[in-house]
Amino acid sequence: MKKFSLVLILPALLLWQGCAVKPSAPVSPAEQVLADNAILATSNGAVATAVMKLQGAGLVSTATAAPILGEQYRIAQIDNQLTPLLTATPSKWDTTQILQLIQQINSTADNLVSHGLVGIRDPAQQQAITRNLDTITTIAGQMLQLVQSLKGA
Amino acid sequence: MNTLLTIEQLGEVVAVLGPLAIETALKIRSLLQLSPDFTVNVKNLSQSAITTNAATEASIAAWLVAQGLPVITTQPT
Repeated sequence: MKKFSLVLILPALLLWQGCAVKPSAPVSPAEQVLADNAILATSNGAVATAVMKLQGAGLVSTATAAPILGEQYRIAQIDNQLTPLLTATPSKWDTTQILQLIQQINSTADNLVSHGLVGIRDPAQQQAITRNLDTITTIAGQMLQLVQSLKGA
Repeated sequence: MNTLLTIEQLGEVVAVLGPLAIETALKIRSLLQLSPDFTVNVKNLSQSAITTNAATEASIAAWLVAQGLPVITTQPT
């Protein structure tokens, strides 16, 4: 019961994540995009770890886990192309490339939610993984909006 | 019988993933504790993402090898 209630805390903490805390100055859009990007990387890693742990515990088959992990690997690769682009001053961003990479991440995660978890039949297992995938798509959407708004600025 | 199996499986999932959920939430929370210095934040946040992604790639690559599956080598375009 205690472990189950701890698992339920995660959605509340993830909702709270929208508010970055910075002592004496407001969070700039550039910092917000980078914070979102770091959260995206963390969530992606969490999905991969969750799938591997479930497979290791015999709750998910290797055949089911392998393609999901392939997509998580791809997201990590794409994000490592994206991250250095975001460290430049926003006025010098390669916005086209940045938006393209974020869109690739978004599509990959969305595709996993729609189709990739089909092999995981247990609703509890699906939900545990979907929660982090939903974080990825939400964060990617947020990043797209922020970058587009800065492009117009 | 089916209900008992579902509850048992739920317990297994929670036992396996419960600590991971907390660890993830705590890491996300720590990412949001920004300093007043813009340059420091840019460096720390970008490094966090790069390090996390590298760890994700490494753990998946190790898992593939352990399962006797081919390692992913192609870079996305």
